[in-house]
Amino acid sequence: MREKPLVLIVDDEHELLEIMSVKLGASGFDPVVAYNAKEGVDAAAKLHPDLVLMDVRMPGGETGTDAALAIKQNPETKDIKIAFLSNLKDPWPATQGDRDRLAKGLGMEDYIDKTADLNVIVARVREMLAKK
Amino acid sequence: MSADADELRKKLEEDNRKLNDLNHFKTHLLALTSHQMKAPLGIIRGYAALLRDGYYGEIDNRAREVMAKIEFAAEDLVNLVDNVIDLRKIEEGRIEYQMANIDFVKLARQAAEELGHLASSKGLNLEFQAPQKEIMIYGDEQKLQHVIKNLVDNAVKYTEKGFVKVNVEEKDGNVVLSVADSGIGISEGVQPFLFEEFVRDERVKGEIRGSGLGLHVAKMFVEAHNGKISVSSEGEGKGSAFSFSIPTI
Repeated sequence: MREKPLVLIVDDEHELLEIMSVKLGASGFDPVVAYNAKEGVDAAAKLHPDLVLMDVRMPGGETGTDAALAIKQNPETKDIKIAFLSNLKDPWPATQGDRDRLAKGLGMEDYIDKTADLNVIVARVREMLAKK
Repeated sequence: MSADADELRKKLEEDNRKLNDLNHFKTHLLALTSHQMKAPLGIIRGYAALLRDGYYGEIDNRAREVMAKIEFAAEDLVNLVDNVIDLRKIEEGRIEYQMANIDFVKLARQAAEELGHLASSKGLNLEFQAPQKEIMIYGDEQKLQHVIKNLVDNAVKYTEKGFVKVNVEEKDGNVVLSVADSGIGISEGVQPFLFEEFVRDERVKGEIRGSGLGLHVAKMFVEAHNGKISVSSEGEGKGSAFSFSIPTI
């Protein structure tokens, strides 16, 4: 059992990673970061975090959506909770429907708006971790 | 029809078409750039919040106030961008409503709770009153939360001291939510046009940021639920009350 919940944040924007890490670190979590989808999948397998916050779109071949699905498809990591973290209102434009429901339909916990109030983001993280 | 009149009609039609194209191009361009703007805005807002809360070392009260101003300005821009994106979707008929049977009291309470910190950061008390029971409606939870947050956010923005009250009640087959404040009020002349695009009270244009789009989008969302939205204010300095009603099931 960890002393503090380990939260893996995957994003290509370094400033965003710093903001989230500082805030989550000060709110009783242990944040770790990865800078792209592949690193995110590797870090999830190695560290088994309690929660992954995954950016939807990242440069390079693999997107955050691919990475999140890869984590869920691996029997070793399939139970790790994942929330998408994005500022896109329409993350999957070819798909009909509301982004929160689409995220949940993909088997994820939540969809968090990056530009939301940091206290709101922390509250959502707490809520997800409290869920059985 | 004379040749001249026919010529004129053709020219007008052509001008009309060009204006329509231009309008479409405007919202398209805005929506495109809007997405690009959100990432840096999120970073400005995030760093301002961390600095304000002392995560990078102690700062004095004056600096804290300035940081809060930066944070709120960035938040306003984020809201503007979201409204532009929504408006474009509405204009293009691409907005989707995820309708379901939902408890309006619960969703209103959630929306008000999320904005509690905004009110307390200005030293205002955000009161929430609702019946101790479910009031079921058929609607889109997110869109209605957006409307409520928009109204509460406005109330906080335009109120320096006193109160912001959110009240939910059931009346004649409708659920009515009202947001009342003790703020600067709204000039009588502006009230009938307040829900139109880019309309703002001239008195506050220079002082309080806003896009003039929030209420327009709110009205469209409420009307999509067969609801009505309205404003009342006794005038300048006398507070305002916005309310909307939606049929219950």
